[in-house]
Amino acid sequence: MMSLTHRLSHTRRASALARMILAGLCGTLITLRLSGGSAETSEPPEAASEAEAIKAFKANNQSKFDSLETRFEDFDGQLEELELTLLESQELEETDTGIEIYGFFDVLFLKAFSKKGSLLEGLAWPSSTFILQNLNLYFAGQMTRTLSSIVELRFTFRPLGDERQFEFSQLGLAYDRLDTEVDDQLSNEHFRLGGVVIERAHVTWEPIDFFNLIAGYYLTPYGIWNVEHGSPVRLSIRPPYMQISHVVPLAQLGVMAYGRFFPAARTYLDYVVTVSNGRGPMDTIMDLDENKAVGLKLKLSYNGNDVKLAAGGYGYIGDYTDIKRAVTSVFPSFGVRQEVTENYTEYLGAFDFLLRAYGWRLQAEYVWRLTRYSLRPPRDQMHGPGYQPDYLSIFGYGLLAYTLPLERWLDQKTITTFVSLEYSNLDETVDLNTTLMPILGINFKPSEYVALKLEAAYIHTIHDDSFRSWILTAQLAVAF
Amino acid sequence: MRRTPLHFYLCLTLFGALLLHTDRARAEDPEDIVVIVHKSVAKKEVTIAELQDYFLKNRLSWPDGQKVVPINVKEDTPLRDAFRRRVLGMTATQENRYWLDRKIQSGHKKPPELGNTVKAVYRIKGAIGYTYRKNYKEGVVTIVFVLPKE
Repeated sequence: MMSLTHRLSHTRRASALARMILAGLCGTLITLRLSGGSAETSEPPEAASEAEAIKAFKANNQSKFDSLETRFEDFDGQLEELELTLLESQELEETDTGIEIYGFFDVLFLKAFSKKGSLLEGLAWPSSTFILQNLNLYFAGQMTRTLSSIVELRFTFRPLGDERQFEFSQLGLAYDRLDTEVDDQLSNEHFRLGGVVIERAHVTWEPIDFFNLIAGYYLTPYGIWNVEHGSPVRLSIRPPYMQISHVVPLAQLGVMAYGRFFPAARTYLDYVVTVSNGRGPMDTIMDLDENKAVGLKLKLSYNGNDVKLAAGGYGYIGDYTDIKRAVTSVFPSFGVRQEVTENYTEYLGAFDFLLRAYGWRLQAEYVWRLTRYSLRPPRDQMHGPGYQPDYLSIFGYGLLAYTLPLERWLDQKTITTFVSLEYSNLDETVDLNTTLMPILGINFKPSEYVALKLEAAYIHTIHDDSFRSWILTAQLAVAF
Repeated sequence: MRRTPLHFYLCLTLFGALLLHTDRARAEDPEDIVVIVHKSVAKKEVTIAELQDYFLKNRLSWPDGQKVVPINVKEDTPLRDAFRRRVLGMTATQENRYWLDRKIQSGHKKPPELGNTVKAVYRIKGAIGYTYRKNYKEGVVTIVFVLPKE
């Protein structure tokens, strides 16, 4: 495999070299022709022998040119044959294709304008700032005809700056912000450590359209933006708050079966079944209960030339269990006891709708989650004393976008304007959690690899004035 | 009753033959774009909607279960442009964007590109490609679709 790839790259280099030599010879010939033409007009008689020499030189060059052209054609033929052999060997499962590495990153510029005296004035950052939000690298491999794998890693400067604790003098709590700076004792250089987030890592087996399997850590197949993953793909800058708040787990560790049926021309019926650890305090390491989370997605799509329509729903039931372990005795024998400290069941329903027609895009997502406790923890400090009651979370947004018909002037560059309205209620037992956020934005794609976005969002709580803030954000998202 | 003259039938037959000939000539225009599949593919006809599905990897297997291997001709050729426009309904940039999105979403890669698609389709099991009719070799690959004229 390596040697075949090496031969391919060698042949490509040789082919490029042949092209350069050809270009050089063409240049020489043109120069000679031009100088020959001017010589004819002012040619002295004694220059006849020189003209003969030039003629011979030209003829010689022409034969070299012809021979190089033939070799160049041979190289092209060989290259084509090697490419075909490589493809053939891959398709015959004789070899893998190696790893393909690609990814995306984005840079934000953000400024929040909060209402004086509102809670957000204290919570939101006061200054404008640049942020490197995502730097995601993909490692994709195709091992056999039907077996592939993908690993997506997100590199981040975090946890630098993570605020562990606000100062709360009444409770005697001091402000605590994480500093990741370390010292290289050899060079005395100080630098800040970052982090790596595993966004997904799974193997995929795709033997036939109606039945495929994924095993590993996979993206939860709910909604639109969680599947159409990544800032260069997404129209808006921010993912909807339902994603930010993880109302549905963004990814799950387990297995996923999926498939597609074709009930009519251009019409797909997709299903996905997920079985995973579900949510837990350490679900990406291990499950702390025997109840595996299960989910089912059904989606019907129509993929016409001018009109594309899709509607889907994902249902999920899973248990969250937290435990602690305590030493119960040392003498006469060592004993450890496990105690469940928190347990709840999540019932989730997520629905999505997408219509694309004649430059318009209308999409909506809605998530409903009921959290029912069997062992309640004490309530969050912000939400008052007592224990956490069962609660409902509701999130939804609608987005309308239009790609301006500017092909005549912009060629393949696109400008898409959009408006959206987002509703979020993480816990319906707490008024503070109900927010509305209208967003107005523009997305300019100067090439397929780059997206420039600008959006203005106004976030406000419905029940009172505690959250009121304008957020202006610009983003440059680049795929590579 | 008056009998129809013989020369009327003759003219009718000649006209019919001419029509048939014109039709056949049109059907076998060497510049036609024909969609070809590997001999192992049992499907003998595809629709334009299915073609879109195969070349955009929305359909990954043939009805008999074997994997579909779509093969494109090289970029920046009139054949590729015509196929992209008439079958996929896309421009080059739109197609590139589509594959970039698919790669980020699911890791699916765009189909390989080769100059001689007849040779490639002949050699690779489950392959589907396209070429001009003049390049088609009978018995080597099977034609499953002829692109209608623009």
